[in-house]
Amino acid sequence: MDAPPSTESVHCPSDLDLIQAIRSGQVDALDTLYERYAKLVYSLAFKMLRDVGESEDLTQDTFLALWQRDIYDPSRGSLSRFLMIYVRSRAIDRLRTKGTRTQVLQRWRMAMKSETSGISPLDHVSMGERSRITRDALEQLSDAERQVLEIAYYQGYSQSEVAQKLGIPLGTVKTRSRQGLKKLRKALQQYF
Amino acid sequence: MAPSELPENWQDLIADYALGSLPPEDMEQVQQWLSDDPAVQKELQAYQEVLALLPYALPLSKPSRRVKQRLLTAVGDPSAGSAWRPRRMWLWAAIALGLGLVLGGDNLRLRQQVADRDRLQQELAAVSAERDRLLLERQDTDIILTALGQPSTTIYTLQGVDPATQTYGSLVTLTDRSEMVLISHSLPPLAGDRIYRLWSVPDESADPVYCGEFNSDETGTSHWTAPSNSCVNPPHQLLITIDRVTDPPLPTGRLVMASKA
Repeated sequence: MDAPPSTESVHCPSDLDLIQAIRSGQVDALDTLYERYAKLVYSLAFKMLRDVGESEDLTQDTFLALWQRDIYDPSRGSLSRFLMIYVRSRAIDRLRTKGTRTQVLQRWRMAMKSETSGISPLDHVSMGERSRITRDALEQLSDAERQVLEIAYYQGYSQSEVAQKLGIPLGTVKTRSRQGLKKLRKALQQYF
Repeated sequence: MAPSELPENWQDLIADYALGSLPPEDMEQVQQWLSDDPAVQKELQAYQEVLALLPYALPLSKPSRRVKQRLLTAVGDPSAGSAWRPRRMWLWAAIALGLGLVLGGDNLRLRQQVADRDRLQQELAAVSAERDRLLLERQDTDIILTALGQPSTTIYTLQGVDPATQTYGSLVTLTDRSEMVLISHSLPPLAGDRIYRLWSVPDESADPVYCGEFNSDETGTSHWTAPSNSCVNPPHQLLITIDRVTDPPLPTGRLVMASKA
């Protein structure tokens, strides 16, 4: 029931169109963007925070920040990617009070700060289709590769912490993470 | 710098950089490549976009409608409900004050005006609350009608396992889009660390399959995406349990609703 984020239809404005409309104060554009991404934003927040109230707060804060602080710079990549990085960073901020994830957060943020340009072809694909494509790509990974990537991504752990949590050598975690990411990249190469 | 001038393992280093696991001793070198070489920048961007896709594989759940209402209220959208109420109340207060000044000195009539103003404010607040409720109902109805209009729609009936609660509901599934809508009656909203989970039992001898989680709200409509295709296949039975949000996806929670086997 998501509106497909296509740029080709008059009835489905692109993410960039909506961001520009938001900058000119059009609440309808924020409403449309919310309908497009709220499920994704909330689901990531809930996966990481495991608390309905906190996840709802983070979802609201994310869209409010888009409206009030113009936090998205299109020259740094797709809106979808930006939202995921933003929500993940904020969720790790919240998790940090329950542990020490500062270093991994700083390194992720630094890695995500580099200048990029252009919007990926996936921006022209519906949300449902993006889910299918991603699930298919993840099927290419071994269970072990998927496990280390998901623990690091959703729980904000460093690779050392992942190694400790799983009781396996750090070198194994590094190798599995890198191989997993490269396999995903290969499976999705037509889009990037 | 041409890619040919990069070491053989440069893509591994960029992958490590994207993962946030690059050793400190390699950091300066990789950042230099990134500032000098568009091919390296492009490679990093691709890895970052790939990582940002991971959440698309999650079972997607829609946040409660109050999130959107609070958001639109915060940005001052009149249709969000509460945002315009204070302005209207202020208007009524100004009118009442103006009337009071015109009548001048007549305390009895002024008190009457104030009483009228308070009554009107209460009525206005009640009308606003009813309007908000109707808006929510309309949104729910739109979701349900959209679901029912799909050729791939299947509807299952569930009953509360405790007859005293008089809980019942209908689960609407859209097979081709893995969407699920539960329309429930008397299924109470759960506190922060609890969540409802739906389970599909494929056949009599099979273990229940996890089919997503949701919370209930005052509208009784919950909407989410099934985590696997097997969830939208016709089941032997459907079950709903209450679990902690931190529980692993195993059917160990307290059973609250079930379809007929």
